[in-house]
Amino acid sequence: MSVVSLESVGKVFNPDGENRYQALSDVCLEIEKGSIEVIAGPSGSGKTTLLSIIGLMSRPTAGRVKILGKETTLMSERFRTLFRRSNIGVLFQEFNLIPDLTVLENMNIVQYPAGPSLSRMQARSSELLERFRMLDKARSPAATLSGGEKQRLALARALIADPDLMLVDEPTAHLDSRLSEEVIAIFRELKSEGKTLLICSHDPLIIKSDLPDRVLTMKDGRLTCG
Amino acid sequence: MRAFFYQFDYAIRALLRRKMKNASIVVIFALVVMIFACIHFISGSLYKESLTGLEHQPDIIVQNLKSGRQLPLPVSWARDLQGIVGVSEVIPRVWGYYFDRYTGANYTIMGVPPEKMDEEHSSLGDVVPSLGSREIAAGEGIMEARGMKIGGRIQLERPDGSPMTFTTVKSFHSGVALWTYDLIAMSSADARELFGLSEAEAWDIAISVPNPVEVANVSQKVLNLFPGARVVVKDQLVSSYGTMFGFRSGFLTTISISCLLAFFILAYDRAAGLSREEQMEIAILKALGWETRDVIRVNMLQSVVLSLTGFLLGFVAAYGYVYLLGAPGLMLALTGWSAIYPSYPLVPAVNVTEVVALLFLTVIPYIVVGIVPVWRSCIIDPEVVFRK
Repeated sequence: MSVVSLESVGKVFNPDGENRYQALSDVCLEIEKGSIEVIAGPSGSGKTTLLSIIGLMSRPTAGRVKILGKETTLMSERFRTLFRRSNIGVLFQEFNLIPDLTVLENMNIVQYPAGPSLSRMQARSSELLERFRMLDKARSPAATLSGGEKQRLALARALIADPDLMLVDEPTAHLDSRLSEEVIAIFRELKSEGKTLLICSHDPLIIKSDLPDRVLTMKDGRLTCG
Repeated sequence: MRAFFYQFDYAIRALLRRKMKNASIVVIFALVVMIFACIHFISGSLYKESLTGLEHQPDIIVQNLKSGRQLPLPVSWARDLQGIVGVSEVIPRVWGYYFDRYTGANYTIMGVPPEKMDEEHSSLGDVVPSLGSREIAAGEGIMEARGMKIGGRIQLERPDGSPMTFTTVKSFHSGVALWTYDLIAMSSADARELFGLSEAEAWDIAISVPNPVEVANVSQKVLNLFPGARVVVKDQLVSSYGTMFGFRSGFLTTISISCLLAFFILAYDRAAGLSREEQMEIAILKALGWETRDVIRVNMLQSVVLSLTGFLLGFVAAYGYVYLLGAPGLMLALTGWSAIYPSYPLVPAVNVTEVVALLFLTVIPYIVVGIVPVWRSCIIDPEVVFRK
């Protein structure tokens, strides 16, 4: 079963403006459940834009996007948000933590809109923080964490809703090789749990490892196998 | 419901994270509300006092004018006025102002005819006792200014400078402080002597007309009888007091407009846009699965907390400044003539309708203008914000 299915997806920024920019052109992609796919390519090639579209944070200007069998292209903004909240976890390149909030608060805010009980919310956050060895930092502001800790917190946060699909943008960009290996090990763990991962990276450590089932290359907004 | 409480908690914490910025907003908001409320409290209090006093005033007052200035009038006018149909009572009055050079204050002297003693005096809201020769009843302001007690003596001077010594037999404790604070009541005979008026003269004539519909007719008939007289109808006094203390007063309008301007600058600054930090936070929340309405709700909760805190602080500060401290500075500006009158306490007169109007004029627009930039940030793809 395809977790992600893209048909001739295109994205143009400022379509009517002077600085019109074609970020994606005619992208077709099928990702099977439980696989790890890596999209490689230089900066500015359109990797993050593609992740943003698959993560339902941005709409394509052409083509169709199916996630977990659901046609999302014409979904209302509200349903896209609700769908993303329960099915897709995103690990951002810059972590996108709220620096003034504590580690625990950064975990909890993901759950606020759904309104679970306080005990359930705290239990879920603590469980994931423990898994990623961050529980002792629960009361520390996110701004005080090291790069590796921020990455682990961002990973824990992305897994709050136990999503089937994980979108990961340049996960090793801010990490040294030891921490990068640690993150790769976590991805293996997630794969063994049956999760589907789409990783954008140009780090050879990821591309040349045995982690990905397939490596795709993105160049000038176009996707090619190889 | 739980989601709402979590979001409220988040909103409060977010406010506390930006303490300095939000504290400055609350202070500016409170200042604007305070100035606005001060004006309303002072003018409302004075207006209410005036109206309360006016309720007991005669329906028509007849004055004698010459070259546009008021002069004593012949008591004989009263007989002619009594003959007008619809008039129930005609009373020639002896009263005036007395400048007390010892205290630098101006007192109001009222002569009370014998038949009006020992009864509730309608214009004062208090009983004027039976006053013998050289006996007075004085308002609290005069008792304070002269350091007098009941039984104490006060010396006043006739127009030729010769002294008249009076014994104080009563102090007025009227709810109508504005009208009795600076008042000295004495017998009509003593008042005439103090002002140098003859037995045949009075300062004005008070006319009672029981049927309000007849007041206009009666005042016209008074003018027919005495074409040079000035006829003051109670309704005219009410409207002129309204003008004096109400919004039409230029000073009040100027301050009010300045306050509104300050408020709109505050609101414009808010509507103009969000900081980079705030935009990032909204984009992160959106990317994490918050709906636009969740983000707007948090922003609205923040606006409600900020503006209500500012409003309440400003309101309480204005109440304390006006009614507990007596509005030092502003009171002098609003009631310039109080420099020569004894000061008098402002009686709390809070108009609930005006408070609600002020609340709606400040809090609601502040909340509404805050929604626009947040909504604008919400509709931008998080990716675009992250890339900036």
